[in-house]
Amino acid sequence: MAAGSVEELRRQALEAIGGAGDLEALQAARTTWLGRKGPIVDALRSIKDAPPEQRRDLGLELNRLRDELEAILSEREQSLEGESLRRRLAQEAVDVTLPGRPRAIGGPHPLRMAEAELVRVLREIGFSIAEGPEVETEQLNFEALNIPADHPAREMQDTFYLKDLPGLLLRTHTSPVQVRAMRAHAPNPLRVICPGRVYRRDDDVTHSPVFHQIEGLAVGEGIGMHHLKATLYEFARRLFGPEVPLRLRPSYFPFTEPSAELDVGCPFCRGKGCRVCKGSGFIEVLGSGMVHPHVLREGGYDPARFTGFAFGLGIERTAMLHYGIDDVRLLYTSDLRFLTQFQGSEA
Amino acid sequence: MQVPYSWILDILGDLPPPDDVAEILTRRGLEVEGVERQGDGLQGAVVARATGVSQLTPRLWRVELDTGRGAAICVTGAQNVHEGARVPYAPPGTRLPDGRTLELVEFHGQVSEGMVLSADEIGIGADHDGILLLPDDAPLGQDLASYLGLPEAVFDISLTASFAQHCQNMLGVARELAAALGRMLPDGTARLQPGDTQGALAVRADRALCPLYLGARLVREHERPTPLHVQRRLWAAGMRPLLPVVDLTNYVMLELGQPLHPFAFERLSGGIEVRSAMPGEQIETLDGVTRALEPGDILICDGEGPVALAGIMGSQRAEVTAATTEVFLEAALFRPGSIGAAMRRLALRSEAAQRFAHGLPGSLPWRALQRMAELLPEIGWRMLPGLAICGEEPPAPGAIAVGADYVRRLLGMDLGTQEQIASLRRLGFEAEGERELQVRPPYWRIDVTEPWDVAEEVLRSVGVDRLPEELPPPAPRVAEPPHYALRLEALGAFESLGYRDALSYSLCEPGELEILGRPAEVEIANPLSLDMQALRTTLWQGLLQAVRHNLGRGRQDIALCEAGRVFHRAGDAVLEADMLALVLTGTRLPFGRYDAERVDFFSLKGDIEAALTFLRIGDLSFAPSQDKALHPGRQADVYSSGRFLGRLGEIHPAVAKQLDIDLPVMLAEFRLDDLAAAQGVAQAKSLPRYPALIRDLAVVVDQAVTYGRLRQVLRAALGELLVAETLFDVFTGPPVPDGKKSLALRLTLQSPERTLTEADAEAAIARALKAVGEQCGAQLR
Repeated sequence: MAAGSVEELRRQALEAIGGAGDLEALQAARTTWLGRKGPIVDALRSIKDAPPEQRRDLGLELNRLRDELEAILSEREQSLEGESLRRRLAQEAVDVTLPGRPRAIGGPHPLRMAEAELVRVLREIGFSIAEGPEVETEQLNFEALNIPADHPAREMQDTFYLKDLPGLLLRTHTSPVQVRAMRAHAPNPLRVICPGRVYRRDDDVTHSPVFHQIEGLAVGEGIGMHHLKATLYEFARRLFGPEVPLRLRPSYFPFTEPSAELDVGCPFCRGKGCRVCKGSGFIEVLGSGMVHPHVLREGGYDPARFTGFAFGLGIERTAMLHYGIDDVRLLYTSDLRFLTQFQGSEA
Repeated sequence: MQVPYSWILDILGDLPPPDDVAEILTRRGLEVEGVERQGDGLQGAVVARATGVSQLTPRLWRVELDTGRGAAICVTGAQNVHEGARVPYAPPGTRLPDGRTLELVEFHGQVSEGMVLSADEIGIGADHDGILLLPDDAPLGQDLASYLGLPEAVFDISLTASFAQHCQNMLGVARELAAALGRMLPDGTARLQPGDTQGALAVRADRALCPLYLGARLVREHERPTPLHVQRRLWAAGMRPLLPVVDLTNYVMLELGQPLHPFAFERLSGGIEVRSAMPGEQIETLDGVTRALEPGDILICDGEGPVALAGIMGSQRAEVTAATTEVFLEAALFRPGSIGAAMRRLALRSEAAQRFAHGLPGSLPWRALQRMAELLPEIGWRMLPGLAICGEEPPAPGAIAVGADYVRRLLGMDLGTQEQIASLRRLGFEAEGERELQVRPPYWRIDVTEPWDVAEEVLRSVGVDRLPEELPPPAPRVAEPPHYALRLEALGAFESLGYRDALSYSLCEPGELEILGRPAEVEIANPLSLDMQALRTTLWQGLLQAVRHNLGRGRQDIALCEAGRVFHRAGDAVLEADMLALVLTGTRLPFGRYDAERVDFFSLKGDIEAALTFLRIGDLSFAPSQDKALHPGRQADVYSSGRFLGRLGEIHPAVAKQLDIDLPVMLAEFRLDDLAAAQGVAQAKSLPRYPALIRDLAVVVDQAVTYGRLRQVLRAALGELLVAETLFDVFTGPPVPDGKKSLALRLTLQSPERTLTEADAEAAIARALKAVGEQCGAQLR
């Protein structure tokens, strides 16, 4: 084979490769030209028939041609592959604004969210959870808490009594759990919180006959009102932020003395005065005080040695303030239009 | 309680502005909930004199006025204007507190140059029928707002039970303010001396109910109206001015806190007796209502029977009227608990009852009578000498011994003995001593009897703001109820599957519990309403109510979970259980591009399996149950390792219909303690080292054979070799014979010890087929 023939071979091969429009044709061209039965292999095989002085050059040329075609084929292959991938991807494109495959969305109740937050903060401050029955004895709900039968405080707490079950009632506050917890742990130092459901014969926009409270109790030797103040302030700062204005105000509860209520700066008007805080710039969040000696004694602690503080707040009220809910009854109707408001909206 | 600023100002002489006073009172525990400004905005009205009054029409009068600056003519519909009367006159251009601005108006051809004003129009009273008649010494032409001291600030104070005892009167509020401002305390008036006790009515009293009863005779000497300032204060304090002598008793009650009751003397016969009501006894009170009484209620009686429900309300029989010229005035002490109980039971919260119910200082009746005697001449009345006295003034409580150190430790405040003494003296207490203080409360503080009461007074006196802040030393944590954390975790598991957390009342209508086959076991003796008569025995009632509520508002796709207590009865005890319940209905996903799943029994079952698995509760099995509330063929009990956990099912259509629900609703309920007991411990196992083989198997069985049974047999036959089985088809109809069904399963076989061979798998399948053939009548399909 002459040198001119190699050139001719090259021309034909390049033409064939150039004409291959897709990967399949390219593969066919590769087989045709570089395959074991292709012209280059044929030519290499027939070198031995060429004149001896040409064999070396011919061999070199043919091998160079093979390498060149190999390179061109690979390059062409890559480019066709890329093109084909691009085409496929273009076909696979979706309208990303179509809706996602929906999942049912559930979620917690706003009251549970408020309760969980209160419990979380109080557990961080060192309190453990205690619970008690919702059907309580008259003794624990009232007498043990220093509220005898004709005490004026009973009028604040209109009570549900039970048919055929004298001496039992639906607890009007979570405070009896204080006494139960004390009885279970006296004379050890105690820090408990008691979240739970309570009942009063009252039904309007701000009062529900069924509602929730959380109660806190600390008992030990040397517990003073300065401890109460620091605990409440710490609690309020963790809940409302470190800068929130706070004030303690003397108050009255039969089961604590001295008693005080905690006010926090109104989160709505930032203390300027608005409808929610009735212009005072403060909102009442909880009642508290030093545990009355009578109650300590009922709990099995000797009031001459032990003192304690207690506090309690309404969870509904906290949730209503926090989420801007104006009717307490909404919390109990399970209206999905209401329950679905407390997270990102369903698109 | 409504407290007019001007009244307190009058007692104390001078005061900071109303807003500052409100702040001071609030910080001392007398919470001011609001400050009303009566007559705010009145501008331009003056004091005028009626110089001529003539009738314009049968209902209208033409009044000629001397305004101090000239003459004017007004038309009024009021009937009480007479010539010479001083009246409030509002010329055209006057702005009234309600925002109106007056203009010239013509009535029947007479131009009215503005108006003469009623108390209501000025904003200081409710009476709008008549013109507010001013005293004859009111200076002509003076600006009315400045003459009347408008606007009148009135504090709305929320009294706690402790303050209701000593601050439910103007003097008490003034004392608190004086103490806060470091002023001398007003002591209250002197006491009336017993003097001559002849000539009064005879009084007998049950001393347990009425320790002290004083009766004075009052006579009218001239007919005079109640002074304007008294009327205004009554009104500002929330009471309506009535008749002069009645107004004065109310005035003294508001000022000192001692309720007084005037009886028309001529309508009493015989002596006065104070006694307990008898069983079945009744009284018609002043408001015309007949009240059923109970023993323990206190009655004031004369020779003919009851004339007043003591301390609460009088009766019409001895009521004082405009014609009354002689009064028997009662100033007494009644047993607080009796008054409070009757007041609450009868829902008669009169001003008097609210004061008696909290207890009164023993000397107060004497002080109130003295004050009455001083004020009576202002209305043309006089108190006759000669008091009726029954009983004795209860002794003042003795001194209280309080350790100075006790106060320091209880408050956590470093207060020196002298500082404690000074703080108590500021409140009118006598206090002395070194390490132990002897503290004697002032006469008006009968509520302070114990060392902790004293500590509270010290704290209030020095101010709560001075309390230091120090966190208490830590105490060991105590064991928490196990279901508390689980409750949140379980709710969270179902919430993540699409359920909304719901809360229902635990009180419900017993009928609904009955329909659900879970009748009420505990009922309320004094329910608030018919739908809150019983404690729930199941959470299903509330959840179904929620379904009904939402269906009524066009929401059909409902998935709710609730954690709460149910109540059962065991003899004389009530047992409470914390439950977790679910309700599911409608479609899983709303109408849209993707297929919505209409929920059924298996939707809820799948959710339960997923959530329980998430909660580490495994080895679940389900067995048909028999619950009348549920569809007989679509309900099951749920077990974990053979232990009962709860029940699920589709509501029985008949039950749903009774509850006004017309679509299939899935229900489930679990006891939290049972779930807590079934929770496994999270524990790692080594990963399988040898590959698994997968074999599919289809068998034909009788319709009656359950998948659960088949699975049980398969598991027993294959033992630990079977690591998973998945049912992927259930088929009935040709070619499967009638009464039979085909079940297709994919079995995953794996050995922890070696790689299974084809022969191992074939042997296992043969073993499985033999077992299900023998025990379930299954044939290979």
